[in-house]
Amino acid sequence: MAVLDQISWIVVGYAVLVALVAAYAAYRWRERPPWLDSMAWMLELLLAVRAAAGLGSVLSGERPDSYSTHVGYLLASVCIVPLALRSVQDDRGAWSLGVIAVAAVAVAAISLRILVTK
Amino acid sequence: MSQPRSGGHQVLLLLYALFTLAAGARSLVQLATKADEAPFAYMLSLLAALTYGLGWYAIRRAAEGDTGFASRMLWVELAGVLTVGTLSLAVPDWFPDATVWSDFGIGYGFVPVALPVAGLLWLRAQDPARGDEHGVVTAFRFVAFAEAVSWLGLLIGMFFKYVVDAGEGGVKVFGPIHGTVFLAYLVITLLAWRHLRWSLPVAVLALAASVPPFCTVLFEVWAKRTGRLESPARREAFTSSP
Repeated sequence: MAVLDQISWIVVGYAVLVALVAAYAAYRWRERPPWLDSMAWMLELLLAVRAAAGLGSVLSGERPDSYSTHVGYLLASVCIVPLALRSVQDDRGAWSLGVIAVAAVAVAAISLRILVTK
Repeated sequence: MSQPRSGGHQVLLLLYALFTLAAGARSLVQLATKADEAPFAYMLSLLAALTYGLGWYAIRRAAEGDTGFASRMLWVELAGVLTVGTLSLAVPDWFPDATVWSDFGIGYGFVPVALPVAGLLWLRAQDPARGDEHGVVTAFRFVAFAEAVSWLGLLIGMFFKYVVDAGEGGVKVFGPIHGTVFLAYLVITLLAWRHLRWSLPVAVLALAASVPPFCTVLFEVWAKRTGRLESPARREAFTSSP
């Protein structure tokens, strides 16, 4: 479980970084830069790795304390970033940065909950 | 009216979708696995999920130009959060387990109580007949005052807890209330910063004023006196006149 915890902590740190970058760009009232989308997809990749590893360990017989909550968080964690990116896919206005920032904060919170419910 | 492509509703829609998911999944898991522990609390969480789903739909409609449903739905949501939040503090026996709206949404960083307020402010700004600065100024002055009042309540509670040693009832009630008003103050300060075009130092000062007791009122008085609560257009006319 230690490696999985480390991935979760990396996800938390990286998600906070994405949120801060997006919030700063929104503060400057800029258009959404393309590399921020790449950063968000990197975050999604990390989340997918964490979810796949977590589901793998659950399927191989590991029983977390709050089983259904833990699996729910693992599944929800991979849905949020694509949902947010899709909702702003043809809009690069400054408000779309707020959407990315909120999604990143939500993902960070879920990763913390994954750590607690394992 | 055509749908505005870009705007605050995009952030609101994502937040409502997230809270529909969070409250819905939470209440359904709780009802499925341990319904007999706190059925009333879990049903209230499910009701909160339904409210968020309807709120999401209402904001989508409002973004397309039809604000009628949202102007009712967001008030229903705010009333729900405030009612459940107050009940959970006043009658804790009714809540063996927490709901999404317990203690005004403390488990979700008080976002549940800030969300309908932000939605209503956004809705106000959608109305072209009303200058949106006016609503923000009124909301800012009200919340700055409420912040100081909740500080007073918290300080009285702390006096009774630590000095008189008469129990922590006051702190328990005023703690979450102060937290809620504090967060509402931060949200409305950020909106005022944008709408009233404050400079960054003024905005930082406004945010910092929320930390020490009663400083939000001092800031509000100072901002009023220096014309920083006027709309930007009027302020320019004011300063450029000889």
